Amino acid sequence: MYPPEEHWVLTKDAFERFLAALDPDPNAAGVVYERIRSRLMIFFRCNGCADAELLTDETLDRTIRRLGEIEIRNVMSFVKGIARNVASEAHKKSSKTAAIEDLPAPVWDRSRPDEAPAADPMQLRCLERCLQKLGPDEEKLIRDYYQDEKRQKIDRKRRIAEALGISAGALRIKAFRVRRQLQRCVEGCVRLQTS
Amino acid sequence: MLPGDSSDEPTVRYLLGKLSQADREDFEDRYFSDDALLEQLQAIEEELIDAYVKGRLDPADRAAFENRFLHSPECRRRVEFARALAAIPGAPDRRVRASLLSRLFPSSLGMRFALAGAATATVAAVVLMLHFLPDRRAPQIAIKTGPPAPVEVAPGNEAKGIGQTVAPPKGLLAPALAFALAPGVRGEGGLNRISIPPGTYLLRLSLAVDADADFPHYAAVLSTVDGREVLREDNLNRKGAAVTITVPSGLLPAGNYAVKLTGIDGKNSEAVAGYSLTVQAPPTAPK
Repeated sequence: MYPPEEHWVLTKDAFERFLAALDPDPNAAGVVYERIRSRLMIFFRCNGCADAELLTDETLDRTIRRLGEIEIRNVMSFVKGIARNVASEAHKKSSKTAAIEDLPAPVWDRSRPDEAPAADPMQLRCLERCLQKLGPDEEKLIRDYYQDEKRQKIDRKRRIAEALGISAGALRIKAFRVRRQLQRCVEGCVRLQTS
Repeated sequence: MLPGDSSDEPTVRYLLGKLSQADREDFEDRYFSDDALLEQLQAIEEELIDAYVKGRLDPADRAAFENRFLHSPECRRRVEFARALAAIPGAPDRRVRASLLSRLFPSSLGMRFALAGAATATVAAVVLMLHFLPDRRAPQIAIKTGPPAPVEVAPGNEAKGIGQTVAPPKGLLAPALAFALAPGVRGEGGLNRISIPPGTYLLRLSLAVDADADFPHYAAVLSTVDGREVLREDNLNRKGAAVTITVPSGLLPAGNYAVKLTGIDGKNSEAVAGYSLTVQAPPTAPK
């Protein structure tokens, strides 16, 4: 028997059971787990929930707990159902507790793009370092793909895709993967600099 | 909406919370069961963040974006990263760079560099080729501003007159440039006027230091004239008659700046020199 929800805590065993349900191969299970997390984060953000991270953890906790109680045939579909319940509960709660302090802090007066905040110098230094760690082709891809020239950007992307012999969609995914890798590197670098 | 393929529109509308409930749930059903669609959604989300930091979203979309993205520390980190990514220019054209390399450096010492001239009290700015970047990077172009200085410059890249700012040769991009700054704080940047050509992503500012201001280390603070700190570098060393700082060009939009150099000796510090700098808007290409 599993304890009722209010007394339930996530244990290592329960988490490993969950991973095993995702995929018998631990590495593959880790990848699936990360994708579930990503889906949930996007889901809660796009459903107007303020604390996407907290609600994502809550959804995963409930899923893992239920996995010990019932047989779940389609984990992804089950997770989505739990997420909708969690979002609905969060909306009911937030409609009673929303306060001005909960609103995001203003970032800048966007009506004047010239006054947009400058990039953090440490981020920039780390970004330059991390760019140097990429392969030459990946670095070029990042510099080219994310260069911002409005209309020209579309044409440029088409040219890059043609040069690489891939579709525009495949190029977008390729650039996105390198970007994620780069962002992880930069975040690690910034952590090192500030520790 | 994002500039680009109109097929992205439903995804962007989903990300901004603008789909009807039925369409939203339908979209969620699909990306919960389709890894490729999830990845595409994530990629478009990053491009939406880029559009936000570049001020490309209309007011309604900006508000929707902020309402969804700025609550989360994870999203804020991504916004910060996008801001940094937006500050780096695109890749230079390798074909052009290679041709420049062979023209300037026909010998096998292709990655050797022109030398920074020693700045005097009145010298303004010198821009030369450097190779402070890793070997796989291309060399930088040589342009020069300010009065003559003892600088080795490749043919075709000779110095121009005082106070002039010279654009790089047509068609060439300058990923990194170096300027030597004379000390002295004057209004409007004094003679230290520089123009950063499009495509430049790093600047090396060589701060001329008097011979008697000799310290084991130096610290430099680059600020706007109204005192907003742009960059701080500690633990700098003197090389020859200058201390050099490296600044991402994205940090220096057109405007007036000041650099304060401090000498550090153990726990003691002493102001060494101040430098004023005016960054001019880059030259516009003739139409």
